[in-house]
Amino acid sequence: MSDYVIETEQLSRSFGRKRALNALSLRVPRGRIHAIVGANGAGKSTLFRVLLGFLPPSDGASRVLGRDSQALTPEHRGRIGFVNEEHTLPGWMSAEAVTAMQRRHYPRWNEAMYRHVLGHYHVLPHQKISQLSRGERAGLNLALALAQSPELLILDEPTLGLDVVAKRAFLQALLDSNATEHCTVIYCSHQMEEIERLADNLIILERGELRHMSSPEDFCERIRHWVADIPFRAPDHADVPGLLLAQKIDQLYHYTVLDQAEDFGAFLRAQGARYVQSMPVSLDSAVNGFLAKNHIAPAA
Amino acid sequence: MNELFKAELGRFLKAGLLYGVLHLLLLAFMTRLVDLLQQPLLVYRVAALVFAFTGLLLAAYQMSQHRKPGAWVYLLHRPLHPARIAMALAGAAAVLLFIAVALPLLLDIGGVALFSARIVDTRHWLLPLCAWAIAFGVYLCGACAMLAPRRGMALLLCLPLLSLAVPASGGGALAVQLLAVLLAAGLLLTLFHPDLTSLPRAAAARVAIVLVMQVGLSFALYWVLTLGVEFGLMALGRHPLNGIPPAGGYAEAERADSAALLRAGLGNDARFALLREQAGVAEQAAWGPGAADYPRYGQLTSPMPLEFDDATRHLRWSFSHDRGLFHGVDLATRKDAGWLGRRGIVQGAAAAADRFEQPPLVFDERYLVTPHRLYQFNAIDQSVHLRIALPEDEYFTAAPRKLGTRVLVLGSRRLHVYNDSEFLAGTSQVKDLHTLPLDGAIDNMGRIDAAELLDGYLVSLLHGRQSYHQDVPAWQSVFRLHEDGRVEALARREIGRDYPLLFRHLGWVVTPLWYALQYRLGWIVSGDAEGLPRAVWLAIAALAVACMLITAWQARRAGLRPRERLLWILANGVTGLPGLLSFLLLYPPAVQPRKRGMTVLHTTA
Repeated sequence: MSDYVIETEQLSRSFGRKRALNALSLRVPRGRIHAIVGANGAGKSTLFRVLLGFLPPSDGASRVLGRDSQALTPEHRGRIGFVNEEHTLPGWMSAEAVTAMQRRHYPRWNEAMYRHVLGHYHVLPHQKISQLSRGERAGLNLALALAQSPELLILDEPTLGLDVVAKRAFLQALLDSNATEHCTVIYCSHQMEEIERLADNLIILERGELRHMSSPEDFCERIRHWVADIPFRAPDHADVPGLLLAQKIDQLYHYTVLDQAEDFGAFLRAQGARYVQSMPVSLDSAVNGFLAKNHIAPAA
Repeated sequence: MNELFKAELGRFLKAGLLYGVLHLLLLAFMTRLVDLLQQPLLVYRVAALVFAFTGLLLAAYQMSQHRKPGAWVYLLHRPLHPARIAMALAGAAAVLLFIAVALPLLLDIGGVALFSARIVDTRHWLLPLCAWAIAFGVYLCGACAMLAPRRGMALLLCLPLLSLAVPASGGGALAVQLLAVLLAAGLLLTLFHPDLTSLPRAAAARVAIVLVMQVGLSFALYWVLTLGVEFGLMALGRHPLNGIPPAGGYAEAERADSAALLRAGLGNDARFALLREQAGVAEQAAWGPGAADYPRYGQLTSPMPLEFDDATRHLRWSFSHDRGLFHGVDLATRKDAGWLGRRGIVQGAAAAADRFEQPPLVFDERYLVTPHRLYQFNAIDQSVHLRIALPEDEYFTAAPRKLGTRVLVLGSRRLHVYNDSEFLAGTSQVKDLHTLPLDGAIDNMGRIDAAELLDGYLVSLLHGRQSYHQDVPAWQSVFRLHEDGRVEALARREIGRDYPLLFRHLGWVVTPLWYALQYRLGWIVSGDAEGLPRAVWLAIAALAVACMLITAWQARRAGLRPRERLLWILANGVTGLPGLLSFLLLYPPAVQPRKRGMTVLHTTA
């Protein structure tokens, strides 16, 4: 059995002239919750589609649960749960009919888990899927996916479009299920508070490339926010070491920097700062700063 | 698999039942008005088109919903082999189409059998199965087209046309339809996999896809180019059949009246001055070969309804394939009026001698014509008499024509002349008075003209019916048929081909392999075929070389491996344009991804 649930080797995937995945080499170890974040177009959904064998790579290779993702067998698919952002379920079927169908298809069906997760939602058995709210559909989808007792559960932006209450219910259901006791969870989201709450490991993708992988805490420690009062001309951005994001607010310069120790304050003072202050950043700010650095903007 | 099948069936069941009920009501209404089982081929073809469209609509809706990215992952990402999922969906569609298409037909035929005196043969019970096979075959091809990784693979919809291309009848036709269903089902299984962007990996599946696409492209190319040239000539005002036809051409001859055609055929030879004069004033007749496709026992449809009305007794006689006899229904009371065989009204149990040797075509409400025999129905005493028997190497091509004191019958090899009083007044079999051997193949004959002379007949045979689109010659021969039976060949003139050489051989140039295959199987060959002119061979060869060069260039751009590339180049040299187009549709050139844009530091003030 492989130690990694997901392995990619120089994985690339292009759509016409656009490269969605660019020589991505990634190894996700077994167990725990791994969050994958990245801006829109970073290649997250493309990565999942390639991993599940729904898209062929343009180049490179990928393996899921030790198996080439382009040759997944039905048995392998039974070990991989997948919940997408749309919570696609057959709208013409009732909740109990969908459940009955899944129950028959998955040999390791866990009825207790299904009932436990669905207990967070008010879903009536005879209700048609099309009559469920988005939050209820998300809950049912999560219940179905967890009840399959997967070894790997991929959640692709599962809380997208959910209101605060539904989002909280979804996360609570996921946490209460103790999913990580049974499987590895890949959680893809733009909601950093969710990542902070859930993730043990943070994977940052940018333009189809792996930019970072560590625990969220370690990642936050690498990034600091500095505020400086520079009465004269501020240093050129190109001269600022480790700069991720620079802003000028109320005559104060705000710098978000990567991998800079306390001597960054000395750098600012050397540039004429009368006053400098550093502070830790939240995961949201850290990721925002990290991804903002290479975010394309119109030429001035 | 069962769960998916039941889920999909439940999804469309209400719609299927509604369609089925409406279909049944329409059939019941139409059955009140006409005998739906005795309709010309066109009616069945229109119905087949409707059933095919039903299958296509179901496939388009069903697969367009399933192939959405999220829905496709939900459907395919489960511990079930994709082939089993495909079978569940297609199985549900098969049941739905049976409910919507076949079941109402079955019920209607059952109703006719139980509650009316109309004929229901064994072959009629196969019609619902045929209708289902058409609808389901088109459904499967539609599903393939919807799931295909290339838009050009919509040409897979041509697969059910196989049943039109192959000359089979009865159970054979049904077998061809079911074969098309099997092939389409096989293709669907190969296309039904998680990755909707790639061609099937199995070589056999790829070959099958390419073959079906090429047959479809052959049809499409031929008709698009033909119609394009026709409309182009019309727009330029130079179309031979639109406006004034070219002088000395086949269209001009075909449109001429009998007198003018006979005179043109005789030419300006001074020896025929008197004949030319007589041709202008004598009684004339013009007709052409019509019947070639005789119905066979067990055939599902007929080119024309095999029935006729006896106006004197208000009876309608419809032919029963099962019995080999005509069955009568009283039009006033709709009651059974007995059976009519080739010896007349059948009293008691029918004998083998009553049974027609082949289902007869009906001409003029009295002539019952099988390929080699002509029977005459006499309404006065409801008798049937064998009047003319042709040799086994010949078949009737048209109804008898009376001209002067003779009756003329156009066989496939000879013109037979009979005494009119003997033929019209008598009941016994008549013998040839004279015969005139035809000087060309009947499948290329356009028209026959005859004029009664003072002492015999002047007969013109116009050949070249297929000269618009085939490698056959066109000419006119004029014969004099003397009173004593002598046949004198008077004149022959070559007739011009109205269309340019390459247009006449467009099929050969554009789709050489497909045409060669049809030619070899005898589907398009004419008895007058001359063989391809050198210029056409050169055009075929030039196009083959061009196809190979374009394939070689495009195969490199598409990034094919050397072996695949070589295979395609050679194949397209043989298949020509359909091969090249199928290749271009399946293997578009690979697009190189762009290099990364500049990294820009984002700053907000």
